Amino acid sequence: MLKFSFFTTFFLLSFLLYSEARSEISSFFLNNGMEVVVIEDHRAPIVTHMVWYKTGAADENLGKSGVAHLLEHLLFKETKNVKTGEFSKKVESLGGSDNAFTSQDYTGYYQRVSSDYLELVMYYEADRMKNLVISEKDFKTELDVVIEERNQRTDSNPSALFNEQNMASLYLNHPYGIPIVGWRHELDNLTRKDVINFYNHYYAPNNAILIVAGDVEPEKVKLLAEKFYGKIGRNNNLTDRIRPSEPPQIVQRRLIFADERVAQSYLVRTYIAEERDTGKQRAAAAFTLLADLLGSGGIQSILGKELQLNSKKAIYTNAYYNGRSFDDTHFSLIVVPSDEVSLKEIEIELDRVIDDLLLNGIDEKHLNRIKFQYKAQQIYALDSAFSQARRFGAALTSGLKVEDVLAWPSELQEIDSVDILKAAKLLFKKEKSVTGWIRRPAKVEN
Amino acid sequence: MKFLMAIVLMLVFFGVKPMYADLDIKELTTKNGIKFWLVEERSLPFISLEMRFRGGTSMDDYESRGAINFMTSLLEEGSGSLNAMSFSQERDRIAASFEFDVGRDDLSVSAKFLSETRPKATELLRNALTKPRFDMEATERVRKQIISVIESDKKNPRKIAQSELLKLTFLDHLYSSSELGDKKTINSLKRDDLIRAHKISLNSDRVSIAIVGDIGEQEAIQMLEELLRDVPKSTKALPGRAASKFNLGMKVIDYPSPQSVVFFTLQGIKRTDPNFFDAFVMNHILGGAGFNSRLMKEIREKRGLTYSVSTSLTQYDNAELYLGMFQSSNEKVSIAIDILKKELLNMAENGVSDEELLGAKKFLIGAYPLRFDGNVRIAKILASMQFMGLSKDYIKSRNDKIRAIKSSDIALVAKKLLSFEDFTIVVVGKPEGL
Repeated sequence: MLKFSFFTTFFLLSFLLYSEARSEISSFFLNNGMEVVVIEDHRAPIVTHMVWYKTGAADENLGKSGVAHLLEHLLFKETKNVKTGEFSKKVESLGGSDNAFTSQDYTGYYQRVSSDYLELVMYYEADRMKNLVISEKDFKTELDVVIEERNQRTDSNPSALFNEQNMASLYLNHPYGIPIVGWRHELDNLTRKDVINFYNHYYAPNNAILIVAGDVEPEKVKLLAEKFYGKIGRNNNLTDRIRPSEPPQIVQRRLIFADERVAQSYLVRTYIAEERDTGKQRAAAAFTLLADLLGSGGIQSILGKELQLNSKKAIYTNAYYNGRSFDDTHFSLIVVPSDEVSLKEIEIELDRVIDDLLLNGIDEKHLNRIKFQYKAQQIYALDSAFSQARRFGAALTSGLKVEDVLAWPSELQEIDSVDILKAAKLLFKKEKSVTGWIRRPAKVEN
Repeated sequence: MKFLMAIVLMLVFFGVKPMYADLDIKELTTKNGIKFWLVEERSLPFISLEMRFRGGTSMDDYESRGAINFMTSLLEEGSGSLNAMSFSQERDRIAASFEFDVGRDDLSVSAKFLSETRPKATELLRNALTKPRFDMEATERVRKQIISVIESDKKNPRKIAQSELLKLTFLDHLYSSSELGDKKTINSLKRDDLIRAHKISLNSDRVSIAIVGDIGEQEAIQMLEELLRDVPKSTKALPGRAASKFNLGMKVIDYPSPQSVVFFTLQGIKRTDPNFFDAFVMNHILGGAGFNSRLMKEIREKRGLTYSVSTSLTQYDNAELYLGMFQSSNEKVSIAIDILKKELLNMAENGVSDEELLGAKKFLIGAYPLRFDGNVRIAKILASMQFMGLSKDYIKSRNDKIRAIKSSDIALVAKKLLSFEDFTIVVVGKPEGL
């Protein structure tokens, strides 16, 4: 068993004020290839138990969008040993909570219960890794539920609809361009067999990560994990995750989305950007800090200062980048113009701010404040074992290793303004971007 | 299932580990008589401070509604000698976090800062609370943001439904209008209105405070004395009971969407009502959190008519609602509403089975200690408890109140709350067959 001791130290201002906080992270593999991570937090006798599959929507077969997420719903139905809903009911009877989530790269299931019940939830979670039964009736009903979910989250929301089109335009070939919940017309044609095939192939211990966080001892977790997960056979047919990749992107794309439900016009510019890779996180660290410089902290940020505070041409600005992704991810800039400012004008302003940044460089004091906040975040993050577990799960299912997660905070600290500027120059290439205008139809009075 | 037996036996022999019973809450008082609760938790070098000032947006005057929310948004936009930019830079330089949030009946302040930065964080927060500048630049910038949100809410089907439901229920009381105010009132607000809103919203005799983290008794007392030194006592009376109307039947609002949003309400129950806990458990069974409520089972699990349906007992200081909501495809929403009505009446007439009651009790009793996890979460709970007038002993006795409930108690409260076929429902969408 590998044991990492994760020490975070920080210095404040120029004084030698010193403090240290630690969280014990242990990590090991079972014989069948299942990875296990234990995060200890003994402040309260509570445990979060999570199983993450290294499979998400981007691993679906062409034409079968929505399968990964529909399967996630169906895991709450029956197995050979357990009746429909029994697991959730059991967790509820313990006062616990449970849920699941699906992304492009992973599918995760969790329970949060008193630490006395770790063994119990492990029994059920291990059971549904292998023994799921999908009846035709459950399949049909749950497909209806998923369509309602799509109606609620996407089809009723113009921003979400635009986002779907935006990703489809940004990725010319990679499946990140297909929505996680599935295209509506493909959902309508999914079959029970599609879901079963997906389950049989991907739900196996050598494709899963167990994360246990809270008031637990790694030795005890190891014994239990061997008992429940260790006896499940591997799937030797699983291959490396190689998805269709992007061709060179050589044309700038523009989208204009008009919907009468839009109240406030806005602009989104999205660029393809490198993600965090194991042993190679520097570019992603630079993009992370670049996004903060551009968009975090309201009027302190570059976009906020230029467009909200100085020129008053925008009422809201932001920048977004998340490096936890298996394949190339994206970097987004969002600007909501003031009433009297057109989308065309705000786009010119946005380009001007980017050009100025590339030309004039970065305010070192601003960068230092952002880096110090990341140091403090290492302390604040220890207040929630659940969030720590999620962070590890998302990273490990995106091709990263525990060492990468532990190294990430210091990688961020090592990035300087020269690195960030270099990253920005690589990133801000219009031919690798989509510019979207979201507005009301022209004929409707604003 | 052999191993399940083993676990059950283990529990019988060892019992469940005590959880929050050892949460050591100290009740302290500052020199100027402000009471607060403290939990010393030294394992992480930061402090979480939670304050709830009674009043909130219901202290607005009707003709200048939105002023209190506007003022609250400006607390972090410059104070004392610092303008908006300098304030946010100073705050970020020490990586402190201050959140100001205003609700119908309270203005809450959530602060989090590293132990070493306590003096600086206290100074910044004190200035934000007592010396906001309401500079012209920040005021106009934030005014535009608020108007943008008000306009967006008018296009958001959930907000439309919620707002209509409150309008029908509360007529011309402030509870009936948006906490943000409307475009006209926001545009009319002047600096003096914001100063006045500030004066009536943050008062030292109306605050509930909890501190959790890396700080001792004396330091905590000193910190609060420093922080609240210049916070004035209240001058404006709190508002009285709100007149409300229930059981107004269904109202449909046309909205272009494949799905209809449904919001409904009945009359709720006061937190101090002797039958509150009966209603609380009943709600859990009918439409409370999780997959296993009756409404989730009937509308989602069995028939796939919605993604999520829930109900909640909502207590304002001056009114009580029993709210619920779900979304369903336009062509299916009428069936879903029929099932909803059937389930509400079924609960009113037949109450709950002993088995359901047992399941609900297990969950509510088991879930309570799981809430006490993390400094920030604990601080929020402790401030809320004081805000609701509960003593710290409540934590120990709360589960006994749940244990004591009988299915006959629930039958009584269900009859009282749910026997109304014409409860108010607002549907926003293009529903078929309504």
